[in-house]
Amino acid sequence: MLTSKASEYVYLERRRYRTRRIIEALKVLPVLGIVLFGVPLLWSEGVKTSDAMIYFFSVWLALVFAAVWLARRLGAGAVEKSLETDN
Amino acid sequence: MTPLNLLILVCLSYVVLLFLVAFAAERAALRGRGAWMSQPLVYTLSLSVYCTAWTFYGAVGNAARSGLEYLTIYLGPTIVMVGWWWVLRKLVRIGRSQRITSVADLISSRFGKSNLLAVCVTLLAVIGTTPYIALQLQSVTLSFAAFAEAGGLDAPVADSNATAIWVASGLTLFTIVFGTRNLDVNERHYGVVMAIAVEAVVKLCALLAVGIFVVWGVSGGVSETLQRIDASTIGTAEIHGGRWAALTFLSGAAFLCLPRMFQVLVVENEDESHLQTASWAFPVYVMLISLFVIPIAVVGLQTLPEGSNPDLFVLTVPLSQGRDGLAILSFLGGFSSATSMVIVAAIALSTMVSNHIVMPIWVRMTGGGASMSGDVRNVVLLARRLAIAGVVFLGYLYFSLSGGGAALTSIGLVSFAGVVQVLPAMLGGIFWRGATRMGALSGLLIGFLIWLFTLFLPSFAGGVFLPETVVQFGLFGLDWLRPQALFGFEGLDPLVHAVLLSMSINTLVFVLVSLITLPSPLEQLQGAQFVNVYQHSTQQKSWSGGVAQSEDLMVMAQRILGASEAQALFQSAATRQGVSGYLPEPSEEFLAELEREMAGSVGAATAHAMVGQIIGGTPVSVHDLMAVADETAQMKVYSSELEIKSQELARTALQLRNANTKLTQLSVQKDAFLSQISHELRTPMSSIRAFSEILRGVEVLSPQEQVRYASIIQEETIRLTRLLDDLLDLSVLENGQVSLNLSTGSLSDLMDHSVAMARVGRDAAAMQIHRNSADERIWLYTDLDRLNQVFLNLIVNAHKYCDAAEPKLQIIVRQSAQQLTIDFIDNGTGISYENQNLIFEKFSRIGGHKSGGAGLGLAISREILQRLQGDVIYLPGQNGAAFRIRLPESVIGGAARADMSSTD
Amino acid sequence: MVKHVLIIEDEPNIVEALSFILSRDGWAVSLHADGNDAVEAVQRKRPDLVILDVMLPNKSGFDILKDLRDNADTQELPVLMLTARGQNKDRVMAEKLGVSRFMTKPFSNADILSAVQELTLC
Repeated sequence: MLTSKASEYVYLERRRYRTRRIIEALKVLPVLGIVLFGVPLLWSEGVKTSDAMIYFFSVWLALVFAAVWLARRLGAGAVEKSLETDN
Repeated sequence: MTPLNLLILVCLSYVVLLFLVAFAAERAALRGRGAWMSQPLVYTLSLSVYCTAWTFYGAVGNAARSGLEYLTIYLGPTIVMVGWWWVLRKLVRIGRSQRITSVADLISSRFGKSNLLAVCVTLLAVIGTTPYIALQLQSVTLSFAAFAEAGGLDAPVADSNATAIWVASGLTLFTIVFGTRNLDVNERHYGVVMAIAVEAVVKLCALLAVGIFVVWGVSGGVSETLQRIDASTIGTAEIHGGRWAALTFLSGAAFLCLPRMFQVLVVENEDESHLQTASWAFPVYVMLISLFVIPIAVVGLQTLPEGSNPDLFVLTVPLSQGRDGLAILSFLGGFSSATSMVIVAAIALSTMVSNHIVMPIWVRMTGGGASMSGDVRNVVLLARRLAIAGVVFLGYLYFSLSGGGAALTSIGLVSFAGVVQVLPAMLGGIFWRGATRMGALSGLLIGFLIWLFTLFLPSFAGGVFLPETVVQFGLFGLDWLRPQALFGFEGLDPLVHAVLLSMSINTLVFVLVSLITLPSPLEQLQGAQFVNVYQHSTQQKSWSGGVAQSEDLMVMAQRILGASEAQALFQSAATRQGVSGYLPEPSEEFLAELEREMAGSVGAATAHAMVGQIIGGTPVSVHDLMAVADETAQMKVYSSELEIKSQELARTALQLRNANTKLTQLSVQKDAFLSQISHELRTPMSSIRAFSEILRGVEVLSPQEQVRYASIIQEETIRLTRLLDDLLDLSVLENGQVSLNLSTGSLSDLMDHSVAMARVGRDAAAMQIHRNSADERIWLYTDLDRLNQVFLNLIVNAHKYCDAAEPKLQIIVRQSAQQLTIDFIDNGTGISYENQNLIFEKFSRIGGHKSGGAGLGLAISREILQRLQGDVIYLPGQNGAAFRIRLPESVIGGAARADMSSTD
Repeated sequence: MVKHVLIIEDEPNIVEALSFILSRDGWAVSLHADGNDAVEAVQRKRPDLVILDVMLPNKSGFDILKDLRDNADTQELPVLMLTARGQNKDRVMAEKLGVSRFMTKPFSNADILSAVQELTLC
């Protein structure tokens, strides 16, 4: 009885821990986007447009995948639940 | 059938389809079968109103001119969406909890429901959006013209005004029909949203179809396309840092601030969790939208004759390849982009105009409140409808006055730059409690003016509003007032220049003014509600005091919310309050709820004003402010108060426990004491009574017996008297009531006196007393009588209790730096270890009653010495009973003075 | 036959008064002043009645009474208890321990005599 309760508690804690990490990742994601989309500012002249396109769309895709992954991990209703822990 | 006629037919069918879709959606929603429409996907697609005709056609044009720069328009929103946790989540939450109806309402509501601010934002939005609507109309007319050209007809070009009128009218009709069906903006426009979602699919499909055709149909594959790109005039990626950063920022900011975006993002949001899906789905959408832009542009540049309008490549490339079907699809895509933008923008603007401009004026004019007549709903709806028509008409007017043409193409970014002036107030409002109304207002106005001067007015070529001389030489001929080099910022791209200056000065002024001005109570209240929206999503306190007439409120609410809705609202509130019938008490919560409900119809400021007119009095008292202004801090204070209170409670409990223990102890002590007193009094009285009865008795007693018994009576009477004296003495000492009679005297004199007194009535030879007179040559400044009492007690005790054959008493005086000790040591058996502590207690007598004392002597001595800052202890291990008196050094202090006075 | 009374009391004046009253009434009186060996004194002297003080040096009257009642040959011995502590709980305590008569000081000589007579009648 006692052990099952304890493990449940640990499980809940872990979930909350996970949720917090996901939220942190969510917060970092746009910063990452800004940095990666800003990279072309450092390019010297003469990069081929096709290469630039491939770079942009790759980053774009990566961001989207990250966002999908995080949204899935956060799960439905997680927004509500995590609100108390946020801020 | 000519392509143009076909086009018109398709176009009309498409419009009919849209009407049907919207109508079906409204019906489904009305019948409660709209669940499938509140899917995250629909929400995501509705966000595509961001992609207007300007982006649909213009992106390719932009790419044809400046290569990859068009991407920035999509990168900004992508970053905002991906970073939804930061801003969008909060905006949506605030929008839902505060029933926000528009950007203007958000800003106004946040800054104390200020209508002035709302009017400013509304005007800014109208000014910023009108050219944009014109741009949509232009794109539709241009695309029509392109078809007409391809069909070999010239007439429609001249007739572009007619096209624009038709389009504008159709859009107005659609928007009025589906945009003002219901009043409460939070009830959402299912029809409109559905139609927009359909249009989003159409424009995506159109662009993808053209793109696929261009890549595989024209170029012959991906790698060939890429080669073609690199071989084209935009084959080298030239990225201008300043423009790149400014445009990305601008598009991201506009994504949040554009009225139509706020409408679909926040107002039409059904469920916060939809954001979670949109956070990746919308970036996917814009990524797909922008995927084929470069290939289309490159193919357009290479295959179409020199001088072709690159803004129409999406349309003209399929047309030139003889793909009329594809071209029509493409046209529908552009048409969709244009119409969806106009519809949503018109709804958003009309809400603002009616809520923040028309309604306040109307309320002021009619007096509002309960005295107003007629159904306010009709007034509001009429205002909205007129506003929609007005907004679209303004767009048309702008279009026709500016004469269309290339001047409009740049207006997209100009419009963005204008609308984003709201950003500092918006972000500051939701993240910074210190932001004030004055700050927001000043920032907004400054930003707006700078934008107007540096970007908007110069954007009209040919000096329509701003003479060429001003652009070249500055306002009033002042060099530093040149619109495109304001304050000497030269060499910047005009757009970057305007965005940088307007945004930074806007923000700076906003922050500075906020810092130096004080927010009103309501502002502070709303600030707390907005910034800490997650902590208290639903509570909203606003009204207090004042006697509200529930009936008046009901009358007003019915007119604004509709009779049945208002009655339901009032009844549920009454039920919650435990009141039967329809009229609840005008409690603070109910008024706040009512105001919120009405805010959904007429905006926060108007609702506030209306309720205020009925309630009367100041809406928020300083007391309220004190209570709610800093809710977070208050919560913290509250919890720490609770903590302190619980600590206090624990402390009090402990104190109570201690007090109780002490009381119990005292009670036990008192019982013991009373029992002792009783014993001490009754014992001598027993003897007295017994012997007095004997003496009074019948038998004849011998004279010796008579004398003896009488003397016993006398002896016991003296004992009783002494006991009472001691008790009184002790009581006085213990209560601290004793006043010390301080005087100076020599220790040896005092000791002489004590010894002499102790020997009264005793055989002087019975006990030897050893003293060292040299040590006793000390001057004391203390209560000498009390000290004598102590000495006497100790010496008498020695006399009484020393059981040695030859009793001796040693009195040893020692003086150290800190204290004076006087030891009284006899040569008797002393006091056993366990009794050493007891002897100082009251009534403790070791070895029976034969001494005749009351057992209070040592207790009294100890009390006396405590009063004299000293003490008396039993000194073990001295081969006899030994007591040590300790007196503080201060007592000896008198010696010096006494010595000096004597030497003088 | 002369009845024998043992007075266990440490207050000399009271002892003197009691012994005067009792001996004048024809009782044989013996004395004991300390609590410590009071029980032994009772067993040794075998009195017909014991007058017992409560507050005795070294051993309280209650303890002595308890020992007397625990002892087979003094179980029935009449014990008249005298106390100067006028509290009711003392009386309750004494009665619980099996005292024959409980009186508070100061006492009337006549009361003492009648009590002693009553207790030694049977």
